[in-house]
Amino acid sequence: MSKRPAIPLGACVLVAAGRALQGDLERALAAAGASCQFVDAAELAVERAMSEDFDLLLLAASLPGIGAAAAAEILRRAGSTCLTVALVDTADRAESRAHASSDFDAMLRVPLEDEGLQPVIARALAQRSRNAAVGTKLEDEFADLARQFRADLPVTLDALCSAAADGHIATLASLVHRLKGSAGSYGFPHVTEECARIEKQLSRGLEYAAVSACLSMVQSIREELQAMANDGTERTD
Amino acid sequence: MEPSAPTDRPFTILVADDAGESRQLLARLLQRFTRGRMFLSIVEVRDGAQALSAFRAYSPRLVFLDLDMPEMDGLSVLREIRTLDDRAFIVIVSGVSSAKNVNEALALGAGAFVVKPYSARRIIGVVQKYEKHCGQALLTHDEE
Repeated sequence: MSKRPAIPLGACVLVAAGRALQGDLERALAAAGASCQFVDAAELAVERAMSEDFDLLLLAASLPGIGAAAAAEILRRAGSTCLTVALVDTADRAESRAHASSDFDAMLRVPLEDEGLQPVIARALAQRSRNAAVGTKLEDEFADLARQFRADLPVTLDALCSAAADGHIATLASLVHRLKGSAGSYGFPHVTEECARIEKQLSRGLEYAAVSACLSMVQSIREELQAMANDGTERTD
Repeated sequence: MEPSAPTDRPFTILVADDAGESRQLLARLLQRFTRGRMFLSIVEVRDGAQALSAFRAYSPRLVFLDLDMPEMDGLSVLREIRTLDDRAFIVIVSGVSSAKNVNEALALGAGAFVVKPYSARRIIGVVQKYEKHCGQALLTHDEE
């Protein structure tokens, strides 16, 4: 598995807000020691919050699309444990009341003030510590399976090359689909993304493009495995 | 609802995913989280038709269905299961986190949605959601 990135000291925050609000929010969060990423639609907030592990999700009440309350409800019902906070306009009392009774863990008024933000950040970091304790216990479990996955990967790559060379598109599609489902869990998220692109090409009948992309991907993975073996990653995780 | 203490009643978790490594990882994580829990078994199947057969055979209370499987996809299996049983807690898993996918699964009666690649945090989160929903403890103490 590739080396784990260092865990940032501050909270990792996903902010869903219109562009007009983003500058002020970024400054306030940076002052609180948090790093943040922005999206500007509720649907995008759902997608990002479901697929990445953030410490805190801030949703502006005025989000376009399905809206902040619906996004929070979807995330809660889907099982998200990310601390989810509504950003409401100080002046809009009706908006504040509506969000106070929904699926949010807390509510913050914009413009953000340090005294409101700090307890929320502290709560998010405390939750992260609890999660990290569990994650540490599971690292050995992941490492065993990841080693096995990497050991088996050359066989899968050979099978992909054979299927591509022989024009066995059904076999190729099946192998790509299986690799898409597993690679990301073992430290190869970019392979999962590439497999998804190849699957789309196959579903559109773009077989030549898919085969070509597949062969490029195989070459790239082989180089990556070789580099990992050379730099000793194999022995360390 | 607060989870009750673990009981000695048999408990089956069904994991359906055509990607072997992904299925194996999820099953291993679930075994790890529930280590020491008596009479718990995890059944693994590799397509939607097998998932439906296994559901009929084992009556699992917790089910993980990959969205994109051969024979029957996860949502089709979910629909069928709901005609048989409205209490089983169904978790849809997928590599794609579009709001449309998530909404559709929830509307069909999924209890949770997990996006791959798996992380301990996400799996524990949905098992805790199962515990709250069904009032039954599943996680063993060292992982809580």
